[in-house]
Amino acid sequence: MTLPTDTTLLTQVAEMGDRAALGQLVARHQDAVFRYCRSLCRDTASAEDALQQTFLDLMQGAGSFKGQSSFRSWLFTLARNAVHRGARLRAGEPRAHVPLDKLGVLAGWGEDPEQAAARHLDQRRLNLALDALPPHSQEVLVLRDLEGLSGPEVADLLHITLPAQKSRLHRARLELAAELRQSQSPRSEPPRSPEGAHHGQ
Amino acid sequence: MANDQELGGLWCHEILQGLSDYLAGDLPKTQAAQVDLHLTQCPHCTQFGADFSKLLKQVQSLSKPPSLSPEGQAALWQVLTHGD
Repeated sequence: MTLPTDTTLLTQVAEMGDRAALGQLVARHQDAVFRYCRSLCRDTASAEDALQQTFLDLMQGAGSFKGQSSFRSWLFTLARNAVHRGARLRAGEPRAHVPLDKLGVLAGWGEDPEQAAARHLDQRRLNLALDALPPHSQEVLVLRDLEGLSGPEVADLLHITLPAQKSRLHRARLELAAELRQSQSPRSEPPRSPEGAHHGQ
Repeated sequence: MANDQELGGLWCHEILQGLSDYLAGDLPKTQAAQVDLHLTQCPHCTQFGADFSKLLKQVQSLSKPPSLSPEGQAALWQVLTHGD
């Protein structure tokens, strides 16, 4: 049996107010939208508010989807708009601009291979490192590397050119590598939290 | 980058700049060949490229962070069906 596509379900929502179809769309995408909202918002409660607004907007705007972008790209755009409308953006720490070659060194270029090999990445460390990134970096990483949107989709969503998207993504990846390297050095073992990182709340 | 060196026609910092594109196969063939050549001669870039590639694969393959709580799911559905 073939599952209905997202656009088929969306059409059913638009034309018939089909609650079962809406339920399927929610079940399929609520976690991804929540993760994305959480990457942009300052707290879980704000992310949940934005998530609710996103699906309300989906219900009300289902008929306006013309298929010019992928469904997921359209849905993430609704989420981004919901976050911005609600002024729920986390501020992020202001950071000095680090030149890319210096960032590369912080990320481990030229490092002793044995040190690099000794590092271990797990979900908790990744969450902590992601949360420590500037908002723009976290956003592009979540969209591309965690949620799997394509480069053109993300460029369109962020209203930037494809080369700018690539540049932002590459810098974000280096920042993540640098953050992981710093957090996994013996002297800066991050404190254990019973809740894990924000993403895990 | 203290050991930045030109090998195979590219400097280490240029390898670093284009690493995501190289790993994604997005570089033009001639440029990709230059990167390949540099990598055969530069242990720093080879090591970092391998580590960076491994990190990306790990990030992309790790299970997604825990997401919406059951309470959050219930609240969402209540909002969507409220008033029916």
